[in-house]
Amino acid sequence: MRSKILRALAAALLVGTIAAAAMAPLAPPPIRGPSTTIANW
Amino acid sequence: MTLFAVYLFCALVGAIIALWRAPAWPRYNLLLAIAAVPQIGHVLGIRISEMFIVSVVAMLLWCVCNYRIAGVPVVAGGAALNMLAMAWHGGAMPVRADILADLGYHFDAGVLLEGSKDVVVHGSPLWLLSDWLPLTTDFVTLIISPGDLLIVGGVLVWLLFSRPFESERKPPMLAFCTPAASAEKRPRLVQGHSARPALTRLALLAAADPALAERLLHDPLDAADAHPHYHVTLDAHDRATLAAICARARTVGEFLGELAAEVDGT
Repeated sequence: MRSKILRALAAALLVGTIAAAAMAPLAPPPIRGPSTTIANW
Repeated sequence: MTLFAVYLFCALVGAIIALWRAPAWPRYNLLLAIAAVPQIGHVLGIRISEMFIVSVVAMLLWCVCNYRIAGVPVVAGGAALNMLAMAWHGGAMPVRADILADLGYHFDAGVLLEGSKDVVVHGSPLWLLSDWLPLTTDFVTLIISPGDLLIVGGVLVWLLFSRPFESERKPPMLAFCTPAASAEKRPRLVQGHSARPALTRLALLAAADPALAERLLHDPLDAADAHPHYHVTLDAHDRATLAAICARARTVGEFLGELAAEVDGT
């Protein structure tokens, strides 16, 4: 059981890191307005 | 930060699936952490375009190191699509202003959106790779890219299918059997005292060593005498039985089956 929990924690860390590293979704609710305006890239 | 809540949700789903079944474990996961740091910095407002290259290189290396694991090539494809679109826009994910307007958010092109990796654009040659797929639920609205979908699919494939299910898994020792003997069904010796102790010993040695069984099949008397570690003394009755078995048996499996039957007296 202990090894299963450790495995789950490790998988959570890995999946979260993959999501943070590679995924780029946009979640509109927190948008409060333009924070920085930059020239067109 | 809704985006971090999304990452946390992904991690939670990963943990639940991993609790149920163990995935194959990727290597060099520090590379993933290195790839994630600039991206998290981007979400938090620390935007250094050059650091995007670090993310790309680290992610690429991690995928190359783990490409054999099921799901990783799909994750690599999704990450490549996202990073291609981001590279085109200086390290930020493009999102079209008209898609945001449809959801009630009005921004000018070139605006970097708080708490995200996104930059608003009017149009992009790579708009198909940008965030343009709205997902609306009761709790949150997300605009995702095709790359995000691929990454989610790849991670699910990794979690669910990178290791065979228990029912599909072969006992590890089978992998080391020699091909000639493994294809045939091995006989099982019946436990107890045998009236043929020398043949029993020989049968056990042959069952344990397929090469010895092969030699016994072709030259039973010589192979029985010449075993490198265990000497087996066969009397005339044993020798006659062994010769008769060899005359009938054509394969190692048949030889062992006949030998087991003689030993068990069946």
